[in-house]
Amino acid sequence: MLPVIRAEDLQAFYVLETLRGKKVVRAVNGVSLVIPENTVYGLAGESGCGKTTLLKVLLGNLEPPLRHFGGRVLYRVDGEYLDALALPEGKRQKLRWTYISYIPQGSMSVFNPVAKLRTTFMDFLESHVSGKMRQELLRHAEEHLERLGLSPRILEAYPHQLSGGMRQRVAIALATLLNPRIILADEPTTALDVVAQRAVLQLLSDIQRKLRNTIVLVTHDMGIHATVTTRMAIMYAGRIVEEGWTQDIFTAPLHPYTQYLIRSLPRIGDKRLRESAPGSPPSLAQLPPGCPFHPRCPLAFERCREEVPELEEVGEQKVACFLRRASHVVTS
Amino acid sequence: MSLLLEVQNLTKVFALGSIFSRLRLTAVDRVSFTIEEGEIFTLAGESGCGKTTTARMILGFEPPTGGTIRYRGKALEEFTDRKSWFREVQAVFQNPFETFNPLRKVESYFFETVSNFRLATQRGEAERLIEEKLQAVGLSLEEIGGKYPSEFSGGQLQRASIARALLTNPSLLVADEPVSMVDASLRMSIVNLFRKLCDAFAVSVLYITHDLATAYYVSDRIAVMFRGNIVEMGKVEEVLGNPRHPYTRLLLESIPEPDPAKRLEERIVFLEEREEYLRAGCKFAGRCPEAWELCGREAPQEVEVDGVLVRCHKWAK
Repeated sequence: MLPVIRAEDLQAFYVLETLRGKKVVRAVNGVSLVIPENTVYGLAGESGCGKTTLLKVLLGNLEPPLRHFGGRVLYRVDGEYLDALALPEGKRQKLRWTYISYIPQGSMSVFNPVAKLRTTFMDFLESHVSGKMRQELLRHAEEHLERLGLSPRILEAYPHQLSGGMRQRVAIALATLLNPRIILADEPTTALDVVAQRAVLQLLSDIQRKLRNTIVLVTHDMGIHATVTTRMAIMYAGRIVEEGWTQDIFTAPLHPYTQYLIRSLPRIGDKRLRESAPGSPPSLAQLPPGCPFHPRCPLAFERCREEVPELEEVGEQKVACFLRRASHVVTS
Repeated sequence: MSLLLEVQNLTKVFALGSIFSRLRLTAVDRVSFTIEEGEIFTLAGESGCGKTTTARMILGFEPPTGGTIRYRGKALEEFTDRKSWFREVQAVFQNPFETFNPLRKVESYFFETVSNFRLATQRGEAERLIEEKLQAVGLSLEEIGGKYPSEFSGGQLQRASIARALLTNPSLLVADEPVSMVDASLRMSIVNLFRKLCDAFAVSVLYITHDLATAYYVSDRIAVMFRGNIVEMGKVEEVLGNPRHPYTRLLLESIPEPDPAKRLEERIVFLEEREEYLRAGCKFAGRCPEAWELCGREAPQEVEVDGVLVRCHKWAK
C-alpha cells in the first residue's frame, strides 16, 4: 500500500504567554505516521492527548498560538511528495477540499445558522470551482447528496431544522463535495446517540468504498475503531504509543495503555468487573519525565521513569514501550 | 427490597410552533416504572426518546402534564418545599465542566450544599462530612481544595459532582448520561463507582444512557424508551440478552462492538424524530422490519412475556 500522507517526527506546540511566564503545551510531540491510501485509518486517544492538534498540523493549519517546532508532513499528490508545511499559502488553499478535507467535531458550527443549507453549499462550490454556471454547481451538489443517500430537499432547510445526526451527515457531504483523496474526520459521532452514530459511520464507509480514498477517523471510542477502521494508531500525551492493523491491535494489544482501553470495554453478556487505568492523563504543559504513561502504568520500572521509549516495530505492529510484548496488565 | 420511587402514567405534552398552532407533541407518553431501594435502573434510548424529559420531571425541573411521581409512597406535590425533595433525590449531569461554574472553586459548592441543607453547624463538622463523601468517590478535600474546575480532569470532576450529590445522604441519584463526556480510560471507574455506592450505601441510581454496554454492565433492570413510550422493560440480562422488541434489537445492533471480526454490514433505515412522534399506531412502524398493516393503524398495548413488559403487536397475540 502506497502512503498518501506521511508525518516525520512532527512537533507542534502551543506557546502561551501567561502572567507566570511562558507556557509550552506539547500537543504533538514527535509523531511519525504513515497513512496508506484507500483505507479507513483510525486514530484513538482521549481528550487532551493532542489528536485534534495532530489533525490541524496534518491539514497544514497552524495558527498562533500553535507553532511548528520540527518534522515534516508529506502529501503524495500525483505520485510526488509535497512538503505540506512548506507550501506557499496559495498552493495549500488549492489542495484544501480538493485533495485533503476536514470534518470538524461540532457540525453546528460548520453551517451559517441564518442561511439555508443551499447557500452554504453554493458559497463553497463557487469559491472552489471556477468556470461553471450556478445551475451546474447546484446540480452537482444535488447529485452528490443523492449519491450519498441523502435527499436533495435538505438544501432548502436551515441547519437548526435538522437533527444532530442528519446535520453531521450533511457536513460530511459538504466536506466530500470535491472528491478529496484524504478526509480527516475529528470525532464525527461524539455528540450522537448509537443509532445516529451508526448512520454516520455507514455514510463514511460508503464514501470510502466509492471514492477509494483515505479517511482518517479520530475517536476515543474503541468500538468504532473495531468496526470501521483497517489500520489504527493510539495516541497518548502527544505521542503515538501503538500502531498496526486494527485486527492485530484488538487481538494482541502491546502497550499497557492500549490494553486498558480495550480490556476495560464493557460487553453485553458479560458482567465481570472491568477496571479503568488508574490515575488520569498528564497535562501536556507538564509532562512527566520518561514514558508519559509511567505514572499510571502498573508495569513501570526504573528505565520507564528516565527514558522516553521510541516507537519500534514488533512483528507487524509498532509500540513505544520498553516491554515490547503483550504483557496483559488487565485480565479479561 | 422496598419500593423507593414509583412513576405512574407520567406524561409530558409540548406544544409546537406558535400559540395558535394545534400541533402537540407527546414527548413522554404514560410512562410507568418503579425503582426499588438499592437498585440501579436504566432508562435507555436514542436522543429524542423522552428519557431526559422523564428525568427532569422526576427532579421537579419540569411540571408533568399528567401522571404521578411518588417517593416512598408520598407524591412529589406533597413535598412542600423543593429542599425536602432534593434531600432525597439528587442529580448528576452529563458534562461536569458545565455543572460547575469555571470561576468558582469546586470546594465552595460543597460548603454551599452543606449550609443550604443545614447539614452541619460548624466548619469542622462540615469538613468532616465533605471529606467522608469525597473519600467514598476516591478523592479528598486536600486534593480538591483551592482548585478551579479547569484544574481537574473530566473523570475527577465527575467524581466530585457525585460526591457533592451524596452530601445530603440521598436515596436516589438521577444520573443523565454521566459518562458520555468522561475520558475513555476513566469511564469504567465512574460506572464502577455507581455500583459501589449502590452496594455500600444502598443508594439507588436512575441511570439514563444510550450506551447499552455500560447499562448491561451496571444495572439491575432496564426500560427501553422510544418516542415517548417504554417499549420494553425488565431484568437487564433478559431484555438485552434476549431482546423481544424490534427496537431493542436495532439498538443492540447499532452498538459498535469492540471486535474487529464484526464489521458494520447490515443497513438500517433512519427517520426524523418529529415525523415519528406524530405518527399514528406504533411509533416504530416506519423503521420496523417486522411491521404489518395493524402497526400503522393502532398503537400496541403493553404485554408481559416471561417477566418482561413488551409494547409490540407481535407479542400481543
